[in-house]
Amino acid sequence: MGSKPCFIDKPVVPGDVVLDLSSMTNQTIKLGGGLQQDHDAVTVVKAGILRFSKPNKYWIESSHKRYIPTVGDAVLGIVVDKRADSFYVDIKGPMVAFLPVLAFEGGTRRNIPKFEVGTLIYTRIVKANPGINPELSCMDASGKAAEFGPLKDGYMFESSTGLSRMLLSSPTCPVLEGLGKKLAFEIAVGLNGRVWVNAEHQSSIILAANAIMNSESLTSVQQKIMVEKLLDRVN
Amino acid sequence: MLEADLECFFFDEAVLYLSFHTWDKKMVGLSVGERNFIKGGIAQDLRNDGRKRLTYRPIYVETGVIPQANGSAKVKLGATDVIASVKAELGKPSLSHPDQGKVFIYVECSPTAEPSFEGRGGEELSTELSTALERSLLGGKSGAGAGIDPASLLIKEGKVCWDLYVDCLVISSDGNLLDALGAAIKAALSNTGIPRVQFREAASTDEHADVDVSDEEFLQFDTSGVPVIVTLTKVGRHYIVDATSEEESLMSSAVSISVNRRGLICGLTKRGGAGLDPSVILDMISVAKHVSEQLINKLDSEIEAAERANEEEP
Amino acid sequence: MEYVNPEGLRLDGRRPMEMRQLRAEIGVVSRADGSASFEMGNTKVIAAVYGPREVQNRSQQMNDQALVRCEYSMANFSTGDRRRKTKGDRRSTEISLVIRQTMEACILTHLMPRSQIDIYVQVLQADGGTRSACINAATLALADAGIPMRDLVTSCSAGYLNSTPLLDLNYLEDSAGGADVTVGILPKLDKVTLLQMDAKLPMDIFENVMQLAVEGCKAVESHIREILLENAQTLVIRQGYGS
Repeated sequence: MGSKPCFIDKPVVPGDVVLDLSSMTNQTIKLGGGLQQDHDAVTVVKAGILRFSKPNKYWIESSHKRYIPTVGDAVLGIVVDKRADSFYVDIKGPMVAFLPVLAFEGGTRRNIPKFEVGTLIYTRIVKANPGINPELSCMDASGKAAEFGPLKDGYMFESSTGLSRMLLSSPTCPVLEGLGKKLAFEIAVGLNGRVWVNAEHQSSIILAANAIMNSESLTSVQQKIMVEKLLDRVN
Repeated sequence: MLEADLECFFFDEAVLYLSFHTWDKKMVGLSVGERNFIKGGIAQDLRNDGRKRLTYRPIYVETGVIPQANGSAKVKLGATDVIASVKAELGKPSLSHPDQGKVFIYVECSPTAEPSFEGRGGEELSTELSTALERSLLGGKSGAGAGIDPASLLIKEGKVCWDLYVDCLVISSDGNLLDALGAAIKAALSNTGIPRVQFREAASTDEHADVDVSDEEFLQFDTSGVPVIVTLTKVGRHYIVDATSEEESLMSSAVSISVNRRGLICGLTKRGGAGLDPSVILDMISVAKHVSEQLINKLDSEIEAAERANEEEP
Repeated sequence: MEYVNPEGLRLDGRRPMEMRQLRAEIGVVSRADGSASFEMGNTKVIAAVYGPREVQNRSQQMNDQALVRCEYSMANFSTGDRRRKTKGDRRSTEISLVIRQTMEACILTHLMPRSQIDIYVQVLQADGGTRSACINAATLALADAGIPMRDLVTSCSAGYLNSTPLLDLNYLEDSAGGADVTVGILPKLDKVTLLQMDAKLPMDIFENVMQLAVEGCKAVESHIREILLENAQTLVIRQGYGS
């Protein structure tokens, strides 16, 4: 194996050994998702692409329907229950998350938001550990509401964590760029594989939503063509 | 008032596959905003996937997927995925209908489609679907108006006949299971070969019929009279065809009408609480007839393509 | 009955150490979190995975690991003669247990405590080697769902008829009354995780037959790897977004 893994940017599957730590003494490396240390070997536990980012982080890039909560991530959650102190929110993770009723800018006991079951919320993960219900907040790090909060109108659809990352990447991905040229719309992307779209006309919302859903497995070139075709059909 | 040659059954049960209670998004119940969004779209003749109200999702048909059976087919309608298999076994005609064979339709809902189908969880839905299919394809108790003619399954009156077992499995569900199953059964029957038989009078007794079953010669089942099922789902004030699970969760009622190539109605089922004016039903029947023409053409050409693909395989 | 003819060919024309044709596909049940179909000759099965998600029955929740559940069902049309009972019979319960235990051993359950992972396996056609096909389909479905696993699990069966070890028995060979050995391995870790046998075999013959089954497992592994690598390749096409 050696200290220079030849698996970087290559697809790997569970069980593959990608690093031999015995030849990397006196080095600190960070292991991200999808990798586990087993004595001297670093093994792949999720199928995907092995990535490396300087100075010393390795992780597996993969795309799935379900989500592993990570602190700092912005996600789209759905209220499933209400308690005195918090809302229970489904974020497509191993456990239901909770959003304290006071986790809102200027939140006090007197102005607790009235969220019904089924309300869609753009929110941020502030605490996440395996085996513990993740904690959410509708405030950014400085206590401001920012874009967090309930999302009214529009349409939300489920996709994959990979699609979410693509939609949030920069430079802007081809499908959003293509849509943005002809359509005025709002979009909220949850890293947990949920996307919300809103626009003035229902037809625009449906067009944008379908274009994004279609782009899941397309290359950049294919995305551009697909969006152009869709826009042409309507105009 | 409804014509005498239609068999109609009304029952006011709420549709059973809405009664899940899990915290999965689809089942949690859509938010008020989303409900309005979907209803508004349908009112504007623009559904969430861009379809018009009376448009079906693309249909994919594959035949011969279960080689062990006499005939089989898999049908995909969007994310709805079902398999139908036809097995012919020798049997004895019933005392009340000595001049007919028998057809049995069973549906099973696999837990692969939905965790709540685990164990016996899918039984209620399976029973509802089996009953609706039998009603739509086999007509009433007299056998009159049946899409699949049981008389064609007779070998020797009163002594021996074919028993057709149509077994269906729902593998994945995104709404409109009934229409998908109906299409799968039609395709499976098109793929079905019944062995040629010779009834040997001399060697037969009252208890045991002596029948020579050919290993070589097969008769293709005649499916020209087999209907398709068109389900019209009412959402708000409009009817849509081929509803997704999301759309079904908003329905107030649904009417499933089976129509064959000649435009004859073979069965009708209504589900859902709200009562319907008989004139509305007649209107829906004419919509269903219109939609069924396209569906039958599309389905027939898909079946033909699937059968051709099987022949070309080495 | 002759299961291996004088020319060394089996009933279906295969050689003793020849496996049936393998076919697999990922993502066949679009609403599941992970799914796959797996075919070994005429044996066809589908596996669907839901999870990791919230535990549905509080009393079953485990504080230190994920709860893994499995249900095995056979379609009415899956066997030559129609089955009346497709679930809840002894054999189905036993196979559900075997699959659950096998997959549980490779899933890193301690990474997802207090959650639930459901594996549903549906047999469409049974022509011998059903439990192996189910395990192989489950491995693919779990990988598709992104459930962390210490290794892939692959499975294959082997038997002994007409004094010959035979790889990957079909239904006729399986019902011949000879031994049927089912093996499941963790290929990279080089460990056997499942070993089942019906009937009696002398030790030395058993070793041969088991070794043959292990070879079969390795052949299955390379097929499964190929499918997963191809699938991961589509991410490369999208040119890697985000960390």
